[in-house]
Amino acid sequence: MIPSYIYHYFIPDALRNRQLAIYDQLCTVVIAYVVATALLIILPSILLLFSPLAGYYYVLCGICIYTLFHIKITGRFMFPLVVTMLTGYAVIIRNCLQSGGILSIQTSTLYLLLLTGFWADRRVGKIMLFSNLVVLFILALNSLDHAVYLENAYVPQHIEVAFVYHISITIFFGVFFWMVYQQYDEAKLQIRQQQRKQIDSLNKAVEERTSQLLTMRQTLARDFHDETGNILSAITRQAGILRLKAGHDENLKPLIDNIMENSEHLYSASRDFLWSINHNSDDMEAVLAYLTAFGQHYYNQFDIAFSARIPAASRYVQQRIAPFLARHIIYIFKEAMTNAAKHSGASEIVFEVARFPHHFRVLLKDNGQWKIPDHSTPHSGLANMRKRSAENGLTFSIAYGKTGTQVQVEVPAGPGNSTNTSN
Amino acid sequence: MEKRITIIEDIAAIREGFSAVLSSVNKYQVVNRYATCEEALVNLDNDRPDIVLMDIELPGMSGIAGTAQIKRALPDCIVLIITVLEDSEKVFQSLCAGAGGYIVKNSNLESIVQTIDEAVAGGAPMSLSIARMVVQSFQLQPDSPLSERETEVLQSIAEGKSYSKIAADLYISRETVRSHIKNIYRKLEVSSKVDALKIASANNWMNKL
Repeated sequence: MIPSYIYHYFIPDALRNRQLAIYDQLCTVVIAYVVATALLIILPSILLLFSPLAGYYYVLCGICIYTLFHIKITGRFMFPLVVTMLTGYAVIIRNCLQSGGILSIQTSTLYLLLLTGFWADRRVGKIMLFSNLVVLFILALNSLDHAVYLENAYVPQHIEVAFVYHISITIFFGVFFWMVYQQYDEAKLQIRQQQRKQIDSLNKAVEERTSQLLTMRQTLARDFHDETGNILSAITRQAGILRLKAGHDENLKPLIDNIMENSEHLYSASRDFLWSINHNSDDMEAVLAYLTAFGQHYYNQFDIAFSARIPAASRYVQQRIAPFLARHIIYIFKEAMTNAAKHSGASEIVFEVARFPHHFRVLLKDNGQWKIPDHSTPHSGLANMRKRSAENGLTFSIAYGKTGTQVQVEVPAGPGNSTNTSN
Repeated sequence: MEKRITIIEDIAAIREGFSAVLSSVNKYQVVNRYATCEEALVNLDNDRPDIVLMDIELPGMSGIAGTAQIKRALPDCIVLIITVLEDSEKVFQSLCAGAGGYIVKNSNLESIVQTIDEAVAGGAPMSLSIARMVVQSFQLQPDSPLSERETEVLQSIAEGKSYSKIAADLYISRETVRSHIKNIYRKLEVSSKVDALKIASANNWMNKL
């Protein structure tokens, strides 16, 4: 409504910053003064045709112009605001006493003054509430003393004088609040736009970071494939050559086998690690697929019938788990799968998953014989599985009987919405 | 009769490692080893390999293109991809190009020999993720070239069943399961070629060549 260069002209350069708390209030005050000045130039000019008293309002207009420049120079408004209000009271009291005291039409300009005071500064407004009452009291008293007021020169004997005054006051009222409110709304809109801009730029930054992360993951995966994986394979292969060359040297053989075993172990651990950085490891679906693939690949070496019973993902059941859990679930079930093949003599193994609203029950069932761990050799597999479960909020249990063994882990569903539809 | 093997792998340690362990097995004869497909293709007529172990990432021609070239020249030759990760998209592409299976580079001697034997006997292993890629690739075709049994076997692998489980479920032997897998690989290659031709003719590439 009011171009910003007009009100910015009256705000000192140093304070022309949206981030400052004072800026908003200065804008409000300056805009109010600009509008008031414009109205005080136009309206009294029309009124003067009917009532010479209107001329005093030019004094008020002058104070308004002074105030604008005071703010421009000092950046402060309280002193000229108080001066404006006091001048306003003086003009109104004087004009009212000249035109019928408490009966004068001009008493209604007191309300105008009160509202402009409130608009500029709430503290000033609160004080003016009382000063208005005092002024009304003074006017009433003076009206009682002068019973002959009706004979006063400027009493609006003519309907048209009263009419024009009322119209002017209404116009002042209406235009003033229209303008300043409009400006207020625009300011709010600007703030909201600025906030949206900030949110947009934040979103952009997050997106950029996410894509950087994705690129990093892909680079890591490629590096593993091109570098680490090949180097590990080279070690395994060279150890293979060494074993051939060592022939039947019983001193070297276990050492070489150990190198190969370690290389294989590191390869497998790197694969698990690579998998977890390359997938959304909070996605239970992906964890289960990874374990199923491992089981299938592993049991294909033996004559063991392996199958997975994984119910299809349901949108009503939470699919997410805490991201750090994936690694442990994979570790525990790889261990369980390996144990089942090595120790139980099972011919059939089933990997089974049941979904519940707030947890998953993951089972590995075999039809073999439970072999009591040999205490003469350190058998840490089972203890490790228990320890890992206990440390990470997983409920581990193992049941064995004549018909087979069952390893069970309950996995809590992760935080997030329970009606996830991304799968 | 000894099986003639050539190895194409640019990392010397891995190449020599495979060569040494395979030479130690009586039934294999490593006839030659190369760092690039180009060299191997030049000597293909002299080497006459029964089995080619092929790396994918090679300087110059990729292992995928190399596989296609070798299969064109020697259709009976079995190309086995040697790879760091068995479930990559590139392995799948090699299978489409005619590879008969894959060997994980880090495998121990026993499983390398086992995989080669299986491939020769008919039916190289197929992993769950490769099976899923194959399922998807056949789903895109209006008429699946797979028989009912082959489809069942493929579906079972994609569900994560082991060979023994599939054999038990379908009342067939593990060997039959493997031969079904071999046929799936072959049909994958054939249908990939058909697809490539279709795409080529649709884009009018044949006329430009």
